[in-house]
Amino acid sequence: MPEALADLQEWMLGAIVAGTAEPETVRGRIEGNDRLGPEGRFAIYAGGYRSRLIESLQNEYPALRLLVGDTVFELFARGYIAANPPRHFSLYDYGARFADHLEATRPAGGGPFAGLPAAVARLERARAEVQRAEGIERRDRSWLTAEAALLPGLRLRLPDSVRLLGLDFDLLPLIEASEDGGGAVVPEPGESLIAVVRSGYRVRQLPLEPWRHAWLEALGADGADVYGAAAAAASSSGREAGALLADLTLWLPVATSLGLVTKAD
Amino acid sequence: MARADPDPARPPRLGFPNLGDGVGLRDPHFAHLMRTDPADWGVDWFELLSENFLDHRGYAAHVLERVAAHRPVVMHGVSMSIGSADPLDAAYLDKLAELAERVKPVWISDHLCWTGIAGTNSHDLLPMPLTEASLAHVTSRVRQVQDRLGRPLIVENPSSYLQFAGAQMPEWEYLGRLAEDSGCGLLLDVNNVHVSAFNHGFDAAAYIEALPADRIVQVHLAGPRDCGTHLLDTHDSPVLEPVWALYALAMRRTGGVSTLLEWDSSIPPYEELLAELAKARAWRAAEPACA
Repeated sequence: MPEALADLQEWMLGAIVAGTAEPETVRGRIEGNDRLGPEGRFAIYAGGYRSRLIESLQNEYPALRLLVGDTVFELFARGYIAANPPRHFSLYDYGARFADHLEATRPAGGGPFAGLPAAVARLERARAEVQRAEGIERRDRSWLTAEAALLPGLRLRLPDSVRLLGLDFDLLPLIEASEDGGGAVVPEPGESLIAVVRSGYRVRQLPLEPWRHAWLEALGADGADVYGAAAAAASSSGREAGALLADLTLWLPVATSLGLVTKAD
Repeated sequence: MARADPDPARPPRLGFPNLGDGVGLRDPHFAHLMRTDPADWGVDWFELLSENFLDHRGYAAHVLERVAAHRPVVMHGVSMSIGSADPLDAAYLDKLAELAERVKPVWISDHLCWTGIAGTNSHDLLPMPLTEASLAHVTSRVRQVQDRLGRPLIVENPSSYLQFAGAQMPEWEYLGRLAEDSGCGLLLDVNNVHVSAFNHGFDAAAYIEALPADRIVQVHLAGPRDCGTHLLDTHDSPVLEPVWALYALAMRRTGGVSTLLEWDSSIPPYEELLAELAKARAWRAAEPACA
């Protein structure tokens, strides 16, 4: 590796990430002409770096942007960019920690809505992940008959295209408004259990009753025995196991058609 | 300046076919491509942005599968960082190879640039210092990539807004020597030549005249934005008249190579894209050598 090249590249990228560079160094390393001097040329790259990352976050988090407005969203984005220069070759990977950043920087004692931006970002990231994940569109679903669904020993799992979330707000009206191009809807505080799921290449978020959420969580990505997961869900949701199993019998075909579960291989 | 005429002993385009006229495969056109009979797509081939499909198993992958079943596709990347002083990203190359295995592209291209250093990624195509040492470094890395992918890499000239002090050669010489020494092909983006020529004050036609024509595998067309002091490579507008003139020159020099219209921002409806692409045919018709 030529040292001069590494030195030049480390200087330039360091200055781009910092957003500023010593004018004398810039003039010593970059050529200019009458139309545009070295500083102006460097500024094109420094400005482009931020614009590109902000645009990437805007594309991934449209509901959050709708909720807080362009100015506040940009403040969030600039804070994230300053704290998290991209490390991965994929720009898609860049927004992965945005919700954690918002959570970590939420104002202390900020009232019931202080956690709202992070909650919206968490849901939108889940939507982005589900959109790209391996789905069930090509999987054979003919195995699921009313009889086969509850056969002892049957193992089911969550497909990669499912994310289970427990949020402190009802965010679904906001997501719908964002998708339909409507105005911002301020979410109501309150526990909200949802699954973000893809079926027929369409991503949606489904509100779940606690026992259904608990049963899906018990299945997990690795899969579990249907009865074992039902027992775990009964225990954690406080429902009677037999009644839960009866409900599960009715709901399982629906859950399968929605893309919430698939057969564990 | 010595003109680099095609060597009659070498197959043109490294033996790659002239695919005809194509467009970039972009999300706003997915629905149109899925509901339209492939016979009515109106293009000969598609170029996909590799990074949009690496690790993607959703609708985009589904569309790509249909497109690749009916048209030749080419993979065009922005993240190889062939000019970085960092080691090559093995994970990236593995994913690129995996995607290539899936979609069977006719070729794989990326840019003469670096995108990051010391583990930080700018997600920009940053310019190379045009020195002998950097050329040797990039040549060696192109060879490594070609060994890993088992095929020639096609390298595109980038748009640039700055040149580093201490340049030892012009960009066209750098690219020509890179192609000769590494065996790679060239993707000549005539819009990028126009943008960089304006920004740095060189002669765009002389740039194209000086490249080894038989190494040019593909041409890119796009529209830039005029920012007053400089041109910005935005891919958000129709192709400019002087860029069409450079295209005609490139076609004359090469005898005709695969042409691709890039449009990545403010993307127009598919029909509008085709109308812009059709202008390429008209410009070629005026060039008897490649009509």
